[in-house]
Amino acid sequence: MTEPFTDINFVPDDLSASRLRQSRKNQANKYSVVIAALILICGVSLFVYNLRQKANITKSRGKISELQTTIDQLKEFGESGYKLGTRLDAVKLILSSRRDFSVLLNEVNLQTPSNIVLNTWKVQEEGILQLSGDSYPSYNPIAVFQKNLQDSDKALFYNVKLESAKLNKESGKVDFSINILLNSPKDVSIAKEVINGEPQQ
Amino acid sequence: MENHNNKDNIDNKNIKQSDVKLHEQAKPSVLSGIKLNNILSYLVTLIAVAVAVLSILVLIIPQYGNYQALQSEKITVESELSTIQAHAGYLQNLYSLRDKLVANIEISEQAIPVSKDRIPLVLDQLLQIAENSRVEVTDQSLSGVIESETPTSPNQIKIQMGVSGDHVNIMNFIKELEQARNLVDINSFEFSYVELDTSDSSIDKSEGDKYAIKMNLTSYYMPEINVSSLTVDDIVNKQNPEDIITKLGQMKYYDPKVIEVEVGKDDPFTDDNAGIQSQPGADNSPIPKDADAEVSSVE
Repeated sequence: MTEPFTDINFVPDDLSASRLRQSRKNQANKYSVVIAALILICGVSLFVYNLRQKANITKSRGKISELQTTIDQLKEFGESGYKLGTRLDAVKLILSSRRDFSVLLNEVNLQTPSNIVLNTWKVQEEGILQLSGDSYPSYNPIAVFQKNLQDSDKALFYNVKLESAKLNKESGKVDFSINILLNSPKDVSIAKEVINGEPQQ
Repeated sequence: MENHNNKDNIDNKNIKQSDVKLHEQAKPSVLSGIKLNNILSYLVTLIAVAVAVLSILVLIIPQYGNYQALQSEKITVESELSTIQAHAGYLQNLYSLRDKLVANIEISEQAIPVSKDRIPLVLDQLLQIAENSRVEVTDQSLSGVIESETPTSPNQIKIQMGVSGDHVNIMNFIKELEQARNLVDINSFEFSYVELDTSDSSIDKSEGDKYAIKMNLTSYYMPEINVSSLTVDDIVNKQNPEDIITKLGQMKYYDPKVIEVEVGKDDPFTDDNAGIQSQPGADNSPIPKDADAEVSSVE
């Protein structure tokens, strides 16, 4: 036997609807308070963060002005350094465009065959070396000399050209003159780098 | 009976009308109570929404604007700070190396003097080199000064010089010239064998072969550049080539010979050797006996 009124809802419909409404209201209140709190917290955090940023910026500006004072005090040294740099740049340019004549003369000495006697060496500003001398007993040493100069590994001589050669019957010697177009100092230094940079075999 | 029914009808009507009246009278107060209750029940939500809206309007929107402005300001200030820190660091480093800086400036000014007043000292250096290399100076003259068009390029001092001696000594002279810190470039030269006059009995033939070299030389001077318009950036970005300083440091500097000069003469057209007094130990004759030194006027 079933219990009476078990399937009958004695709670009025209004009451359950009102309870549902009340529960929704409570939820709405809760969420709105949470959201409002979150927004407030965000705002306050942003405000505090900005204050800190401002403080940091002010601190940085203070540091900048402090360093600026230091720079103003030390600028004189900087200017001296700048002047030094300018002078050294000029020195560098001079040294890099300078021809090492001691090396050049030494190289000519080394490449001169024993049968040749040089009488004059003339170097023109354009980088032309004129050599004149005697060769004994024939023209052959001149050819050797020319080849030696052209094949010199110092890369000093760009073009070796026999300008004149004349047999002197009285002395039996050959008077000759050679014009050598010299490599520019820059080319010489590049060639040196290449030679030094090559792996040794 | 009929009267009674009529009376009942009238009463019913009265009751219904009064009920309606009562109902009509009670309705507004109930409704307002319900509305107030509703409003009160939503009060928290309303306040929360109001707080949220106010927070957004008063706090978040302006602070976000501030945040953006501060961010860009922060980036600018930080970049300015890092630049200025680098500049200050460079200058402080330079200051800590001030002794080295002063020494380096001295070396660089020995290589390229600041003033053309140093021209006689350049000529004197050439004579010292000749003396050290044991070659005779046959002639020396200042042929002119070429002024540079730009302040960062050195002015050129053109010199002609001739020396004679044996081959080794002349080679030494050229080598020493190239190794002199006060920069002197050889532009052109003529190196020749000197035929000894066999009829001249005064020539000592045991001296061996003699050579002569005539050279066109260039030395330099460069006045200090004007740095008043320079910014710290320009200063900091200027590199000092250390290798050049090292190279110059290895080159030989010829100190100018110290000669005490008495200034003031009764008659400038007379040769008054008594007016020149040498310091103890100082060489009083910078030009070798055979040298035919000549200094032409400088424009």
